[in-house]
Amino acid sequence: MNNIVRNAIRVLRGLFAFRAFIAAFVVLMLAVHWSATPPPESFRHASPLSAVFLLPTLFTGILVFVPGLERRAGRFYLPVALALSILSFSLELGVAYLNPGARFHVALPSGQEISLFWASTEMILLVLVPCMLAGAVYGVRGALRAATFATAVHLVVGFGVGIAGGEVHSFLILLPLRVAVLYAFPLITGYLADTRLREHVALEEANRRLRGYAATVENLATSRERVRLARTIHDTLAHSLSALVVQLEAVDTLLGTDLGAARAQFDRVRQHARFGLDEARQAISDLRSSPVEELGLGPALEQLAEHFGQRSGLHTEWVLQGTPTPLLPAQANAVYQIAEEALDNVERHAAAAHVMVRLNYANGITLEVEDDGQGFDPATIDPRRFGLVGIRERASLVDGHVTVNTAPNQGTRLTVHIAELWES
Amino acid sequence: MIRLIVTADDRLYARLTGRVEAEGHTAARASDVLEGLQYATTHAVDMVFVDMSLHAADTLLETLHSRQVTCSIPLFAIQIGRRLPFELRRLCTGVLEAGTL
Repeated sequence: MNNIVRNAIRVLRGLFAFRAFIAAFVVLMLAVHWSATPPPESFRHASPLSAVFLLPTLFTGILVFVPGLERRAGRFYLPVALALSILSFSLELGVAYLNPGARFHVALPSGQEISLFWASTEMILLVLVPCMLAGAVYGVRGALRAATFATAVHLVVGFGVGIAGGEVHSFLILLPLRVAVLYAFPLITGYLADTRLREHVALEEANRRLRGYAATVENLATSRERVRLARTIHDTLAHSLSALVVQLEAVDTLLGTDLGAARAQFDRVRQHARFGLDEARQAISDLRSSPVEELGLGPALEQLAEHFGQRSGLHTEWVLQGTPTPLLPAQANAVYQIAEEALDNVERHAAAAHVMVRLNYANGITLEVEDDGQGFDPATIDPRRFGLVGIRERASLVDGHVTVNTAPNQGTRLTVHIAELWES
Repeated sequence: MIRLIVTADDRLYARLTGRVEAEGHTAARASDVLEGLQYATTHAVDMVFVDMSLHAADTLLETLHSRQVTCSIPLFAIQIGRRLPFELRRLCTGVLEAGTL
């Protein structure tokens, strides 16, 4: 069952709840009035058909609130419920024509009187609701069917009222207007629903095409990458191996005739093999994605700190604070490269024993690289030294800000803060 | 059509300008990455050449590729000697070897 059908059923239930509330209010008022004064004339002389005309409302009201019935009835539930609603409220409209002046007066403690209808011709508004719901769910065709059914029921009720001796004259006067209303509003709702459905279908189609394009682009990228890999393998490994084969054949030939020349050729083979190995290593290194792309910023920095500690022999600590936020590669790679450059500076200039790399995800992202080395006096040192200009430039490119806190013999703390993270 | 050349190398700039102007376009110069980003985001640039020997040139490529106002501009990386890493090569429309210019 789709959402629109479910919502239509909810609206229908709301309508019957509203009807029940009005009925309960009128009954309560009648009971109060009855206990104080004789019953009103209009009520005492009510047409016996009134009760029969009210029964379908009671039946439909109970039906729409039976739990689980819509699941058991499936797609027939809503059309039947709408048809019964139209029928019930149209019959209630007939009650008003069978009992002209169906009202009674209630005296208030203040001395004022209020007039209440116990049957009203305004019931046409309740007939309109299921017709509009049919338009909303089934479009213009549904609206037309519901309006035609409501008009037919309306005419039958009018005929019945005439036979039973009710107020046919006023019924006929308002008939054209009511029929116009019964068609106009549901048709508007139906037209809007059809428009929405067409847009929905177009959007689905666009989404389907987009998924197709994305798959094509992915296939193209994969295919292009395969071609590149094949070319790399051809230019490096295959080329080196074929050269080696030719040279080994030459060694084989020379072994039987000139041992000295064979040895010299063998040296060249070894040299070529080493060169080929270097080329293959370079190609593999080129194909690898960056650590940030492979691991994510946090784990990549952790790995960087660990490798730095092993390589430099400095005690290196890694601290991660806050909940990791996804970053665009431009910002993540820039932070990683700044950390690399800062650690390189520590190794070359700081004469430190301990280094701490800290990444904090609070208020954007903050990277800190702190050492306990010799520090420097910012006032006397050229700010272009130690690659700080490069670090600042890189940080600025990704909306980052760099701060350096240092003093002679008090270590150095480099902080990079990116307040605004870019959205993908 | 403005073609932005981001390089601190005068000879490279002269060689590229010659080519760009021969094709009927206008060459503009930025001497560092920040100037390059500033120019590309404030002018109607239709192509950017980035000298990869500049510091943070890789971040400039990634930034130009990430920002909404510059992401559709074709990027060319110019390099001497070392090979451009694979992930940066993916961002570029072309990679030019400076020696062949």
